[in-house]
Amino acid sequence: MNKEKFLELAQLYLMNELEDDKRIELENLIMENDELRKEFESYKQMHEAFTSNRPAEIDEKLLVAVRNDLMRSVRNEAAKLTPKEKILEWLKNIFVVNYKLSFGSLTLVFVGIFVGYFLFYRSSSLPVATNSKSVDLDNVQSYETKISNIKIPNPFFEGGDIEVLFGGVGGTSPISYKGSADDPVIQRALATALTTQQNPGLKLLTVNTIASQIELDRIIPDPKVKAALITAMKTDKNPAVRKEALNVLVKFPFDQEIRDAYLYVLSNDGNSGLRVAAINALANLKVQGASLDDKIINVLNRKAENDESDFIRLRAASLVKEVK
Amino acid sequence: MSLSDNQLIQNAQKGDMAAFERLVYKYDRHVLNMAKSFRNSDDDAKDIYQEVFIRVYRGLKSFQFKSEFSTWLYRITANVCITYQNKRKQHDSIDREIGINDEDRTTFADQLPGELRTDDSAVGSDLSKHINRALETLPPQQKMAFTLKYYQDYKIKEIADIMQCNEGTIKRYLFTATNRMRERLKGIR
Repeated sequence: MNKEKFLELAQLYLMNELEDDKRIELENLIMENDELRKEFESYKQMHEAFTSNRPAEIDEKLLVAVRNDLMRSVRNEAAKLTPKEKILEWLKNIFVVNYKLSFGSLTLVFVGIFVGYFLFYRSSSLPVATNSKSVDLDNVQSYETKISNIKIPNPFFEGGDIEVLFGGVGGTSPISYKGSADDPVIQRALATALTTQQNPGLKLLTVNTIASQIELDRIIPDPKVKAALITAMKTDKNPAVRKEALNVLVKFPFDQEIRDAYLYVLSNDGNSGLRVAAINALANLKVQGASLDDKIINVLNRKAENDESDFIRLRAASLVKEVK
Repeated sequence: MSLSDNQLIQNAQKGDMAAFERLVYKYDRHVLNMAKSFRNSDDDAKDIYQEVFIRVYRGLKSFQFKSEFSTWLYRITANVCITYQNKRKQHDSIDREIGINDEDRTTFADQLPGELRTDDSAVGSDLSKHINRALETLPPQQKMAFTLKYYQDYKIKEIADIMQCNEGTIKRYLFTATNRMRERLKGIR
């Protein structure tokens, strides 16, 4: 047996962990070998020193103190709620303890939803789609006064459908109408939009759309469309819109209403470009073989004398002279 | 495990604080002794005791009766002691780094590096003090095996059960610890 093995067995022997046969074997070895006996005695002393160094049993007062501290800590631990318990406690607090507050809050929420429904939802209900068959042309006027929006493909219309939104005010559901530019309902809607919509860009697009249809001979001159164009030409705040309306009216069959409108522009429009356009339109009538009546001649005479624009004075005088 | 232990645990699992308290009182003296023998300090033993039973309280709900309650409890105690020792070592190391040199905390190894000379120490009179200081130099696992064996009279098999390793490992811990202690204490006896 080597020394290392001996020391291991000696320690197990001293710890009383050695089996009987090994104990006897070790004891015999110790008795036979002086050097091993001395080594064993050294370990034995150390072992005794260790066991005699055992710490004193704990003091009873210390035990009582730590027990008190522990139970206090455990009670605190028990008082801590798990997240699930916290949520349940919160709900219990709301619906059991503060039920009046929660009932009031819920009532307020329901009242809010109810009021919101009547104020917003009903007025913003989706438009009802319709088509020309379900729109009575004779009653378009009633729609016309209620046009809420027009969607025209942009840039300048060359095809596709125009969508008009009728109604949608006073709690009624709006009617969405889609159709091509040569659709009579669309044309009336466009003309009406010309006089009722505020957006100059939309009005210009509207006029151009009408003009494009006239050029394609798709439009049947409609008195209401003509009236709208005349109104726009005479009263629109935007000179570009007035000018475009005039350009479209030129393509309409000439009549007294159009004549009076041209004369009105020539006499009253503050924009010289518009007045030039009006006098050119009258000159164009003459080129087309129409006769200029006295009413036109009178206005032309007056403009030849006192228009602030040299060009208009000269043009008016020239026209009068040609007529004579 | 006795029936009463089972019953106490089941009641404690249902939130019966009195049952938990009885369970604590049944075993806590031994836990405190284990902690005291391991750390040789009342304050440290108190800390370990608190930590052990708070862990037991938290873990009791998931206790599945697969082992003796006492075994489970002493395993927790051994783990807490070892963790505590590691934390204290880190703490002491930081203290040394920042210059706090509490003489009472100076390890025996720091004081007496290398071989001791017999006439440097008062033979026998403060042997206990030297043993405790030498114990402080042991790694926590070796120290735990040593204290359970020499101070708590556990058998190697029981120590293996508590420390959750095999008997061979515990024997190795004990031999290594004993030899180191012997080296440290050479010339004192």
